Order: sequence, then C-alpha cells, then structure tokens
Amino acid sequence: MRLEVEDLHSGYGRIEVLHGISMAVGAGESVGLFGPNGHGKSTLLRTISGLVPVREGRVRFEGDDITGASTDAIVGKGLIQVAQASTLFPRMTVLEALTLGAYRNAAWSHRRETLDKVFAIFPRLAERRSQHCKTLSGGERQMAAIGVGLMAMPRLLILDEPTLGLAPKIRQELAHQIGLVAETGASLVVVDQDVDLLLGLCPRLYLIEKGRVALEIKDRSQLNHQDILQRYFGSAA
Amino acid sequence: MGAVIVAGLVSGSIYALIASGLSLVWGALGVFNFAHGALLMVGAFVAWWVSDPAGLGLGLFAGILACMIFMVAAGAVLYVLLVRPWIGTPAVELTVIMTTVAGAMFLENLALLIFGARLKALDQVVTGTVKIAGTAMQAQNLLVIILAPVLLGALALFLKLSKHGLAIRAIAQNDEAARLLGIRVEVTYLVTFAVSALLAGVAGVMIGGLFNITPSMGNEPLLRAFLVVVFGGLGSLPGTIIAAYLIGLIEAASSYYIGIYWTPVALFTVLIVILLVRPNGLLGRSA
Ligand SMILES: Nc1ncnc2c1ncn2[C@@H]1O[C@H](COP(=O)(O)OP(=O)(O)OP(=O)(O)O)[C@@H](O)[C@H]1O
Ligand SMILES: [Mg+2]
Repeated sequence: MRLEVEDLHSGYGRIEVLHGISMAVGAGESVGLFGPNGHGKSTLLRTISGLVPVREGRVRFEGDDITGASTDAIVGKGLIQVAQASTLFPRMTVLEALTLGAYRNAAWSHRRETLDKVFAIFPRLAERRSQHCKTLSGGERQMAAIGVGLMAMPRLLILDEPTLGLAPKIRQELAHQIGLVAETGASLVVVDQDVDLLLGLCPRLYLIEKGRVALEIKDRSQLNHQDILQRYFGSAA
Repeated sequence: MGAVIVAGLVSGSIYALIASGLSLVWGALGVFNFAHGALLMVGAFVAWWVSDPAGLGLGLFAGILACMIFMVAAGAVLYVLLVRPWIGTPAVELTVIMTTVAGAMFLENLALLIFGARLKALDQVVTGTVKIAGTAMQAQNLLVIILAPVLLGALALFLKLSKHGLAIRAIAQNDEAARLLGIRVEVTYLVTFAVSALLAGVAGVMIGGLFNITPSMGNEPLLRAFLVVVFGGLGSLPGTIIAAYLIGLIEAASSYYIGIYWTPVALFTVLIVILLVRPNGLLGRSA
C-alpha cells in the first residue's frame, strides 16, 4: 500500500472535524474523494500532509509511519499535495514556480527532464512560462499548480478540487491531463464535486460525509450514481 | 555637478545594500529588523579587528573575509535569539521591534566596552584618485559605485535561480504552498537573516573604509534604510534599489545646493509628497 490511513481524527481548536477515517491507496492507483462541502475532505488531506496535527489514528506512507511527521519530511518522501484553490506564488513566473516545485532533494537534480515531461502534459504552461502566476487564467493556474506538484516527482499526488470553479470545457481538458498524470506511475488522490469526472479517472471512490467515510465505491456498476447526486448534491444532473 | 553625482551614487550604493537586506527580511517574515544597523557596525568592527595592527593585523582582505563569514553566523544567531521565539505569535511584528531594538542596544554597548569610543577606520581597498568624464574621485568611491550593483545583481540571481533564493520568495508569497513543496520555513528564515546580515556587513566595510567606525555608526544608515524601504514600496526589491539611489542623489544634491542642515527637511518633504501620490511607494503593491 502506498498510503494507509487508519482511524484518523483531527480538527481545528476545540472542534473535531474528522471522526475516525480509514482509507488506503495502492501503488499506481487513483482514488477519488467526494462529498458535501465542509464535511472534511480538505481537512483529511491537510492532516495527511502534516499541515493539521493528527489527534488520533495512524498515517503510513510506503510502510513508514508518518503520523505526526513535519510537512517537509512528508514531502521529502514523495507525498505531494496541490492545495484547494492554490494561488501558487503570485509574483513568480510560471517557470520559477515550476522550478521551485523540484525543491525536494530527490527531485532537484532531475528538474530539467521533469520540466519537459510537465510541458508535454501541459503544453500551455510552456507557452506561459515567463508569465507571472497571478496573471494566469483559472484553468491555467490549476495546470500550473498540478505542474508544480509534478515537478516534485510525486510517489503520491493529492489534488484537492483541481476543477473548482472552471467551465465544463476546461474541466474536460484538465480531467484528460490528470489522466496523463496517472499514467506517469504516481498514485493519485483526487477530490472533486463532479462524480462523473471522478469515475472517469478513478476506479475507486470514497464518499466523505460528516468527517467519516460514508461509503466506499469499489465498482462503478455497484451503484446508481444518480442516487448519490440526488442524496448529496440535491441535483439529478 | 560631477562631485554631486559621485557623492549621490556612493550613498545610494551603500543605502541599497543596507536597505535590500532589510527589505528581504520584511518580505519573507513581515518583520523589521531594528538591529540591522548594529549588524553593520559589528561587521565593520570585525573587519577592523582582524585587519588592523591594533587587532590581529592580518591585513584588509583577511578582515573582509572574516567579516563576511562572521556576518552569516551573526545573522543566523540574531534570528534564533531575537526573532524565532516569536514567529507565529499574534503580535510578532511589534515584539520583534522590541527584541531587535534591545539587541541593537546590547551590541552597541558591547562594542563600546570592547573597542572604546575612539574613532577607527579601515584601510582603503584601493587608494588614489581617478578621473572619469572630467570628475576626479577617490578610487575607493569608484569601487563602491561599481561593487554595489555587482552585489545587488548577485542577490537578484540568488533570488531568481537558486533553490534557497526561490524558497525565500515563495514563503513571502504563499506560506502554505511553500510548505507543501517541502520548504522548511524555519531554515529559509534563517538563510534570509544570514544573507541580510552579510549585505549589512559589506555595507559596514564600505562605510568603514570611507568614513569612521564607531559603535553608533549603524544608526544613521538604519534610519535611511527605513526611508528607502518604505519609499521603494514594502517588499519590492527593485523598488528598494531604485529608492536607495534616488534618495542618495536627492541628498547629495540638496546638501550641495541647499545646505546640509536643510537636507533632511528637503528629503522628507520630497518623500512625503511622493508617498501622498503613491501611498504604497514607488513599486509597492497595494494591500
Ligand atoms: N483553518 C480552519 N480553522 C477552523 N476551522 C476550519 C479550518 N479549515 C476548515 N475548517 C472547518 O472544518 C470543516 C471541514 O472543512 P474542509 O475544508 O475540510 O471541508 P471540505 O470537505 O474540503 O469542503 P469543500 O468541499 O467546501 O472544500 C468545516 O466546518 C470548516 O469550516
Ligand atoms: Mg475542500
């Protein structure tokens, strides 16, 4: 298993947000997370990356216990996260931000080759390389954010709502590109509101509700996803 | 006219070195280091003590080298003792004003205790005068004028190309995204302080070679550097550098044409007027 989360509890101040989450991601596997707003998806991912302290439970990455480890130690092992709605580094050029993506020691010396791979997946970033991040369009910024994550040569890449606020056309484009990322061999964890999009990318999904795993979907034929849409998003789209 | 420009460029160069260190720390940590002037003084004393026959007598180059090494360590120690304990506390900006003012006073008194109040001066790296475009100037002045842009260029390259330089800028712009790339914020803050102190030390050596070395020699330059950083636009390094040269030149022109007593008044008037028009400074970002 690349990532194993066991009975994880965490939260902010006096409020506990996660009440015992268990999940696992295999080597090269893509796993999707979805669920209503404010029910703890980002908190789960931030806790895994060491940005929010673990209160109870375990996190293991490639067999190593990383519970309570610092974010830089976790990143050092190749567990990379692209945060939700990241504005990246507003006054850096795309190329500078990408270069910095290779900050972790294992990635730094390979940054030229990795950059070529990133540009192959996101040709638009090559065109925009000398533009400041703050002047990128929403879609381009997401591509840049994912590109920066790829520059770290992830063993596991976490994408927290990569298509947030984007128009359908650009969502399709991004979904296709995330598919290409999955082919690089990195395991993926993707959060999205769009269950169809997730099903296209990930064979396995977790529904996160009220800080718990409400449902694990191992096989897309196992359920009628219209049901889920209706139950959790109040739409039958 | 030529002499005014030379004087303006020399002060501008020195202000630029001092202020860019201050600006770097402000940009990355959001605090002002009030011990920056004292660091400059410490650098000058270290260079003097290592080089001068009254100290170790190892010669000027050994003195400058020792100063640079010492300053990197001094910047790191200053960060660990006076800044790090308060990182992440709600009033960190204010607390760090207190701790660094205290640090500055301590260093000043320590220098007075060790070296006494007698004026000291560093040897000049180059001696004699040179004449450029009809203007005669001390070779040392010319050296300062040439060296400052070289050092500032090196700083710009460090910030644009090196891993640690990019990390300093990243933390200033998006702390969490920086952490998620594995950047160790604490280490990067330390590097920022070390680089900033190094620049202060170089400025100290320049001042020590042109003027005198005294325990209070850093106070005036620190005040100017604050003006420069605010005037240039908080957190903008290019703004800081442009502002440094502008202020150097305005000062030199005003001391020449208006007189030395009215220069501060003239300078502040110009700055206040410009800040009325551009409240965020020359190249400052709106908040
Ligand atoms: N920094 C914080 N401090 C305090 N509470 C927080 C913080 N971040 C999130 N929360 C709270 O934790 C709960 C879970 O938020 P979280 O961001 O994990 O949800 P989410 O499932 O990612 O939602 P969304 O789909 O809107 O991104 C919410 O009630 C939120 O208000
Ligand atoms: Mg979220």
